[in-house]
Amino acid sequence: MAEIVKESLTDREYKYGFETQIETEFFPKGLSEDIVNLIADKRNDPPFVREFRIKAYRHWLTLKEPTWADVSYAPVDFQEIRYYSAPKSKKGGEGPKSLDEIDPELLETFNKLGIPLSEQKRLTGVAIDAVFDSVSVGTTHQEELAAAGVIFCSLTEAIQNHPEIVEKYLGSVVPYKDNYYAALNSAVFTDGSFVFIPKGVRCPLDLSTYFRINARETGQFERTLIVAEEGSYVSYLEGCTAPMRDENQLHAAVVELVALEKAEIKYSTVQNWYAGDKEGKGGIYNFVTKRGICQGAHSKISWTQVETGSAITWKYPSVILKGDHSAGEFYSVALTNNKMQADTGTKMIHIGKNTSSRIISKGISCDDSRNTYRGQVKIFPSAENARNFSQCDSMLVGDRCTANTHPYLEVKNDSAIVEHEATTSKISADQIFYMKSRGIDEEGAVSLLLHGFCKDVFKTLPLEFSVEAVKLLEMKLEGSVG
Amino acid sequence: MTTFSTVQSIEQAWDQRRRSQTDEPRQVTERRERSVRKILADGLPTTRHEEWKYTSLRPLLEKGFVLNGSVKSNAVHPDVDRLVQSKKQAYSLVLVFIDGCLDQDLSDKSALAAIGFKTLSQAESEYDADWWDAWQSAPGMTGLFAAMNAGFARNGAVFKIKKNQIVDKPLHILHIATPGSSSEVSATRLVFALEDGAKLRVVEEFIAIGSTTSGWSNGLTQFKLGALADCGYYRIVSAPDLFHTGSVSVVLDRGSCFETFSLLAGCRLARVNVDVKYTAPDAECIINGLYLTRHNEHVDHHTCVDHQVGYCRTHQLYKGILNDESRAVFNGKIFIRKDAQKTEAYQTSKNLLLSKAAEIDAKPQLEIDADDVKASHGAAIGSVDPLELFYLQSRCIGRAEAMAMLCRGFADDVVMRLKDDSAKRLLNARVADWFAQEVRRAGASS
Repeated sequence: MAEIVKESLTDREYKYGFETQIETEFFPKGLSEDIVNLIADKRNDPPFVREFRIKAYRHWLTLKEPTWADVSYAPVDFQEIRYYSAPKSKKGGEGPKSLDEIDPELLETFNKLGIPLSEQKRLTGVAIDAVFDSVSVGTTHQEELAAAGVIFCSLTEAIQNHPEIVEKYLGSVVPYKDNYYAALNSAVFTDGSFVFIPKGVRCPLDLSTYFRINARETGQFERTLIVAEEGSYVSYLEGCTAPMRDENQLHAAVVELVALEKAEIKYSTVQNWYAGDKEGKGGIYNFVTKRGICQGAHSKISWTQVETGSAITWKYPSVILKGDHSAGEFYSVALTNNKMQADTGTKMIHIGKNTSSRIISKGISCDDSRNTYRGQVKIFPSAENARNFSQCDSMLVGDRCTANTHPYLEVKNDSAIVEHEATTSKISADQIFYMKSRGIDEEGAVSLLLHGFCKDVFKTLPLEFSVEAVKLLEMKLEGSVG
Repeated sequence: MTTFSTVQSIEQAWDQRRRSQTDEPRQVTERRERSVRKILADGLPTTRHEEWKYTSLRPLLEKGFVLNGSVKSNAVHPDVDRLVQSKKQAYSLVLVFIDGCLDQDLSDKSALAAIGFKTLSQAESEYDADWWDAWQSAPGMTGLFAAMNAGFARNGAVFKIKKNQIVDKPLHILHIATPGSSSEVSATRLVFALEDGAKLRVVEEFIAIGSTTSGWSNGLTQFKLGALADCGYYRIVSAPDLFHTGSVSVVLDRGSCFETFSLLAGCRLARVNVDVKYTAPDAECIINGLYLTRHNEHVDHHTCVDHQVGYCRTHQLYKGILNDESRAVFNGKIFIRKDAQKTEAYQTSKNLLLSKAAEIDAKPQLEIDADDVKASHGAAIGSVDPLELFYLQSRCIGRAEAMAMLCRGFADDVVMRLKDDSAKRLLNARVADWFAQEVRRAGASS
């Protein structure tokens, strides 16, 4: 059985590996204070953003690349990366005013990725911000959202149009000093999405950002900021792809979420960056800092991620539970195959009273991949009656892969209840036999078992993404599964 | 006289030792030097090191323990004799160390000879270099305190249990710290080589005379089990002001069975490392532990089980009860290597926090490279259920007693799992002592 699964996994091709031939403008390779200033010039940054970049860059110079993660790779040469690359605008200088002004080549790219920007605008109930290399190329449904008072645009636009909100929250959850890649991102971030949900508003649409890396030798450094004011709700989805290349490309993003009193943010990711070929050549280095803060009482932040791509993943979406009665959730499915390495998990920092958190992590490792769960649950002395439940299950397919679990439980309050469970399993011959005896073929049986294994996570995804995630998993495991 | 403060102090102490110990065989000195060099190369760990994230060496360094004090004649404390006699009544095989020095007069020499007993220095000169090198490369020997012991320990004992020899009485090793010991490191090394089919039970107990005796004992205990050998090792530390560091290293051969229990019921700062390695299939290891802490005690257990071959089984359960401002650390690692198919490994850590200021840092860790295995780990941290407490109180049981009763039940779960009856009785008595003190304390404060 394992042979069939294995075969199908290694033979899978990456569907989104094409490259768009489009005229782009980019900066020379390398990183220096001049480049940071150049990015600020290019984007017409107000002084507070420029200052933030310079401070971050200077701090970054003092830091060393972290080595504690359970991944191994050749060191990244930060001077070999282009820090800015953007499709050339036809009008020159100005960005596209509306979707009609977007280069048809770009629209075609997003069509091919299954994200038809113009069509989407009319047909479905999801507003999309499409980010291509370093810039946002278009955001749909803006009028409809504006009517509800929701601001959904690229971070660049937000910095120009709503500087007061950006200044208040930028770097408030992930300060530029946070870690090596967060500092790098703070210095050179180019675009990303910005969401602001005003008091009491339930966002009428699901918001979505689609990230695409296209140009060669570039890194993508986007920064997303979501602010949900008192009593508001938003569901945000994120998807990513990149062309197939022999070289490794760096993606170092920062995502900051702020939930005020009784607000709820649901953040879902389907990550499908190019993972490299069978020999582990090429692929994206996905070094991402994602963190949310439940600032107000009764607020809630929920992270759901389906990680199926990237040569190396280094990602820990976290929640700081500061408000009393606030809740944090983390649901994750991480699938690694070939020579992929994933070190992913979460941090739940309990500060407020009666805070609760829940962690469900499912890791599937195949071939020669490494799949590591690393999670921290920290209960501060102030967190009376905090409650945490963690469950981390691993499934191994084949005998050359690795599944590791590193939970850190730090409890400084006696009223806390913290539980952690982890199991490791493989698809057993008994299970397959049972299903075959019921007339289900082997592929169908494996597929069913995998779906069952991941069900707890998939059911938390918004419908559109749930379908996409299942498809993605099936595609990765096609041949024997589904 | 050099006090333990920096890595340089270790180098200095080593130089002094080498100059003064000219009668030692050259290969022994060289072997010891290798361990010391390892420490010098690594430096002293800080809390930035993953292995030392939650335990700082600072309290130990601040005390300024003397690394290479003079070997002193056993200062006979009136209580020592009484204590040893009482132990002798209960156990027939007793080996006594006083402040780290082997006291042969108090030990049972003739009985010990039957189980291949040699003092460390005898064994160092009698057994050849290959024999010693194997012990030197055992798992966990690169750890700071294991290396310090291997480099500096002057006292110790080596046992060779012959093929199919069954030692039916438990061997009781007693480490007694007397009030005069406070400023020195007492490092003792114990080596147990069990040949095929041998069977042995060992109880190693660390106690202090006088409630404020605050020495530092740095023990190294090594086991190597031949095929089908069976060994039980029970470690008890109950000396509230003692600094205690210990390294236990175990190598298991085909079909052997090792059961160990670590009870920490009182010590100022403790760090116990247990390293187990399987070298052949079908071996089994049961690693259990219980830590009971109060005041500002800090206890740290690091265990590492390395499944290098398949068809072996590990069962691990550690429990802790923490009161006052005490802090406990549990880090359990289980490695299942590529070829270790059909491994079974289960690990559980459960902790009760009885006070607001107590802190627990648990890190159960699994690293699995083989697919056909059964492995799980779990950790739970919580407090006593108020409903259970209420129920007992409604039955006219005082709060302190009810509390102790519930905690006792929690602790008994792990103690009662012991296979060896005499060890179970002994550990049970120690746990009872701790709870009796707890109830007295609660009575005094209310």
